[in-house]
Amino acid sequence: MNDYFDCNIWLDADNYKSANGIYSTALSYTKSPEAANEFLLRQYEKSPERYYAYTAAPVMRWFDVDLLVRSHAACIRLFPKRLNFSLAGSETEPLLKELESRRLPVMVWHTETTWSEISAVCERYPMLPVIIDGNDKKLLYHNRVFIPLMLKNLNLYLETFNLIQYLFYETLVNKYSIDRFVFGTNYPQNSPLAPLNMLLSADIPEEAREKILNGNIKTLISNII
Amino acid sequence: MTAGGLIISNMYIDMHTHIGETPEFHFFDISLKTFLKKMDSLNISYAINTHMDNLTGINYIATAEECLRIYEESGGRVMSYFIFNPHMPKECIEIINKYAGNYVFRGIKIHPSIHRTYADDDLYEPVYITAREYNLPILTHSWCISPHNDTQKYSVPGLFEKHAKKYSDVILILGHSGGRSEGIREAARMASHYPNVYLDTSGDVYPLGFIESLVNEATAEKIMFGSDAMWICPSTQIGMIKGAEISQTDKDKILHVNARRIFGI
Repeated sequence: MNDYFDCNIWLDADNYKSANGIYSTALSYTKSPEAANEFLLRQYEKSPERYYAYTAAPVMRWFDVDLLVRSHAACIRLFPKRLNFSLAGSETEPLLKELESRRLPVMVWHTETTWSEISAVCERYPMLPVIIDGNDKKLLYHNRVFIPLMLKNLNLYLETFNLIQYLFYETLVNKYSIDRFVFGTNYPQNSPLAPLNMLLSADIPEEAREKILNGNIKTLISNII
Repeated sequence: MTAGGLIISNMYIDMHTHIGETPEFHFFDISLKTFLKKMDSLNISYAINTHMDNLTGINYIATAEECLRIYEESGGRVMSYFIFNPHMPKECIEIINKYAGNYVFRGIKIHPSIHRTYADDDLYEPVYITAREYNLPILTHSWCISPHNDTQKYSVPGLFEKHAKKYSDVILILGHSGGRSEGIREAARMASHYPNVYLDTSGDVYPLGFIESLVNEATAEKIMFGSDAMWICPSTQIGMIKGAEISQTDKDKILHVNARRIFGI
């Protein structure tokens, strides 16, 4: 079995077989971005080999990018709907500019925004990697939107646990030459074997499979300034 | 009744598939040739199809003929369900009467949400009577109340209880195992309580422990592998089943043994 780097693990998953990954916490939207970041910083002290998805919003009591990057920030999660701001609104500009300057990817559930806002952010901040994942709503009925967006915006990535469509990878990789996917499982809410088996069994070049399982996210992390 | 074509005992059977397309999103490739190639790559020997045209249209005669063609072109590997529309019972039963007993059609599909008729409605009486007459299992869509799709209210598992109890000799398969949370719990309870009620794994539901919980509640004898292809890639369901913390014997039952028994393959 190919090795993989899981970019979508939610903490309380200490028994997960793979420590290779990016850890998030639901405190981001059940309590506050600050509480989530303080929690993840404590996790970093315990497990400094792991990477973490910290959280941001346009206004916060504290947000120290330097500290977060030093503490293995792999990306910054944004929850516009739940935290009551607009992804593409003017209130978010300073934050996104700062993240773009650091090449620090943002990760957004597609259920937390709109594809129009995602498109606007990708265009305004071309050096900002934008990773779209989701929560309990698969990327099945959106393909007439996100395929053109991925063709147009080279900074747009999709996380894999939502990608369940028949012939998805064969079509996106082989026909459209799009391989900007980052492997994630939404563990422990979801079975990791579902997205993994779909990717491992896809009829695509090994080079593309390896990029999706490992290479893309590691490149994004290595580009963080 | 036995299937035509090749029988390979350890290959999987995908008992919940759809050939064709619907308008709500872009299907990448709907060709039978590609579908068979994907089946081969995933160790799937047979699939049973509810043709999309039977869900989106009412030209049931033409669609039945298309199912015959698919069966022939697939070398007997892609079989089909009849459709029963409670608002067009005469037309649907006529087709069942015409083709029941051949190898192509292995069951009858009902879809209360698409036909906007509650699953406990007496309009479904003819399908249960006909299923009993020909010893055909019924596969139904089942889901839970959904904030995204109001029509799911027609298909909540508890609504099937009336007919499952009355027609206890007719096998009723709750497709999608009730869909989400409350629906899954209700579907599993029904499969546990009624000997003739079964579940399938199709749909976009992959919670960790999902298969284990169905097995614990309903036993592996009552669960079958289904994918919902050509919407969804069967590899996701296979991965979830193979990764479940259940015995290999139970995995085999879910992946192919039960379907061979229920559908006579």
